[in-house]
Amino acid sequence: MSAPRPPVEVLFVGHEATRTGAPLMFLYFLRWLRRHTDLTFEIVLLEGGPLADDFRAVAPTVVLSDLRRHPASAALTRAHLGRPAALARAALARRALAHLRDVPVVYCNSVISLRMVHLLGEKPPVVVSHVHELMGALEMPNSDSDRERLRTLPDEIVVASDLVGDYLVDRHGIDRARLSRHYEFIEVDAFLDAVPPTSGDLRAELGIPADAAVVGAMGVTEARKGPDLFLSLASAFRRRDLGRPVHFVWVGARPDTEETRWIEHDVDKAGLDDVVHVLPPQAVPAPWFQLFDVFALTSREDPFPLVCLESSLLGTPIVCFDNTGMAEFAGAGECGFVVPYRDVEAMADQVEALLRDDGLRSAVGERAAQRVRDRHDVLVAAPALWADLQRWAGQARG
Amino acid sequence: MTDPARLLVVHHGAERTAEGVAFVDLVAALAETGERRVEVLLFAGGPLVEDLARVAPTTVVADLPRWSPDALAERALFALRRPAAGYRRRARRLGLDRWAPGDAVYLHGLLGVQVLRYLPTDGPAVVCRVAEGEVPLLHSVNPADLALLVARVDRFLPVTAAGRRELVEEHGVAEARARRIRDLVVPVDDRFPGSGRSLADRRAELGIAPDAVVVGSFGATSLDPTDVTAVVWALLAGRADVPPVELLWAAARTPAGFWMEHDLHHLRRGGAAHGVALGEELDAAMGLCDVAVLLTRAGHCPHGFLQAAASGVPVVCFEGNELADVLVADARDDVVPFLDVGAAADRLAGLARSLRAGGPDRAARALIEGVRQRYGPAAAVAAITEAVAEVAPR
Repeated sequence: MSAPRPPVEVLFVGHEATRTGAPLMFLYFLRWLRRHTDLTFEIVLLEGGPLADDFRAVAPTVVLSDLRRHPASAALTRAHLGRPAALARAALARRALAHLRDVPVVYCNSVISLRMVHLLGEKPPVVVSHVHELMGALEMPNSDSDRERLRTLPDEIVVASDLVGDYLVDRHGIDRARLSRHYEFIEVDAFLDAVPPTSGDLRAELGIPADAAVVGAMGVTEARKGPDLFLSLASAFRRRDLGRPVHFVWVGARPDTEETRWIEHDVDKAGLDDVVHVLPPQAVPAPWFQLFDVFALTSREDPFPLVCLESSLLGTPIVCFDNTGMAEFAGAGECGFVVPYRDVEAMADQVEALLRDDGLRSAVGERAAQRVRDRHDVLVAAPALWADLQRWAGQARG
Repeated sequence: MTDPARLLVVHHGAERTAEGVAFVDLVAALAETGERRVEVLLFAGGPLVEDLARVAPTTVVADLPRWSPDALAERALFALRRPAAGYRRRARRLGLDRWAPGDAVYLHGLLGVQVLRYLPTDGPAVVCRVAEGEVPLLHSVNPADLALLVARVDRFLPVTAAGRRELVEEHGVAEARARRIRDLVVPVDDRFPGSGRSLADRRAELGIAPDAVVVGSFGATSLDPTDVTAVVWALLAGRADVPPVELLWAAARTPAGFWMEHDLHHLRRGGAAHGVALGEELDAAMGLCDVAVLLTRAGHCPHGFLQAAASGVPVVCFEGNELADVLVADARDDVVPFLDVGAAADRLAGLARSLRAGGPDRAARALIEGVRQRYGPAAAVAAITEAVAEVAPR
């Protein structure tokens, strides 16, 4: 006879298991908790994805989107009975989560994750929302109910950068006293272990000349990430002469998506196909960061992207717009460079300055790498987040 | 006496946009020819449904009873994985099962493709206008529907050269089945509620300085998945050699237009950007603009810009846009390299300086006539009627 399961102390909820920033950081945090604490926890994911098994390896995990495959739900969906299908899925989810009804603390990674809290019945004593979102998620049409949940449900709100905090206060009237800022973090050691000695054949693979400079970017090709602005940046270099070619590499374009086809279309139409390379997501991104001389973050908004931390860790300086959280990391040329939002020409100026000055690039890159090790390593940042989580849980018990 | 053959005109909805108003005009003109008895099928409704119903019998799929025995039977068939039977039942509910080979169906865009799922395969001939060009053609339609479209449509009428090229080269449509037509543009008139209002008053309401040069952008929805207009605006606003510039964006609020909204929010914080809802005051927006910017990725020129050009408003656009074909003849400098935001900002700065100095002549007759000749409604109606007659002889 198996021993009874100990009561779950914290339920962690994630919105998906894709290989993107917020889920990855969530996974890093959960792994750290598993290795360094005795906490009893379980995981619920609203949607699955390639990291689902990694989550399952950390703790018992329920993926709610799997319930769509249930025969009753599937038949109702085929019959275009959306509302009954949703009700059926909710009933199935309640049954799957029945053992978690009395969990004292629910930690929702992303605002969307708050959607599942009602499935637990009464509101748990402590609900924490970790907000990695800005306008692009919270002000899209049909996001009213997510904003309302954010206003009313969490007892504590963790924000991924001061930019996110200011946004919640200024645009949504969230009380600043409810906010705690915890910058995003990565698994530094694991990332460095995956770095090969050199970027090796990648240049040859892409047909990039040995003397060419490489400007890189990494992310999905959605509008928020500004892949079109990356192409405008490449276009701006048509009018600049650095005495050597400049190539532009975007890693993370999901194949066969509309957005990626648009980017490929644009590259072709703008006559940039000789210097722009659009690549799919890479399971091991480190060699690509090594290939880059400068990382251009062209996001229209971005709370605190992990790819910039990874790039910085390898000494590749970033240039970003001023409406991203990375502006807080970069400072005024200390660990990267910041230009006004949408000013592609100013970004081109800054990228050019870095490409022309090896010393500057190297100095900024070294400071950035050190800052990542000092402040954004899971071994440094996760304990601070865990300390806050313990405090909030204690308040609930009190 | 036999009944005249019928023409079913299919469209996704009836929004009060420039394109929507043009659609009503088109249906009226097709009905007036008397060639066929025209009926309209819309998937969704909208404020122009009544206007359409006045010119032809109109059915809105979204308004069909949802819980009638027929509807429930249809749902049951889908639930039991019998979609073909479900679609046959829907065809009966819409009366489409009685349409014969002598009749014809005209799809006013790719979004009408879903009607092909339940149109009898041995039924009426199908003509399809393709407003989308390049990538949207591939990706606004799912693969199954795209295959159905290619197999079932007798005559494609793409409005861009790029759209025709893609149909022929990418989807194996025989050249004779794809005939390019010009889209149609309707004059701005009192069907837009904003008409007749004093432009000076409207400027004042929006807080636009009387002496400012207004650079505008407007379209039926968002112009593209992304749009670099805001980037150019930002470059322009940051330049010292440009007279006061105010930015105006008029568009319907849609999910796809979110990032324009986002950028407008940031620009508004600088106090020099204004947004208006397209459906309410497209004409006013065009009247307010001194210059328009059409910096989209697709080759298609939205109606709003056609109307602007037809009204003599200079339009700065990327090479490869169909409007560039027209501008090249009369306003070559307004065409800039694709994605070259710096060149677009340079051109707009030049136009702003020139406008401030009293020129160029807004009523550039050659340009206006060029646009009106190419995009007049008579040409579009003639092309559609001819195509229908070819594929569905009576």
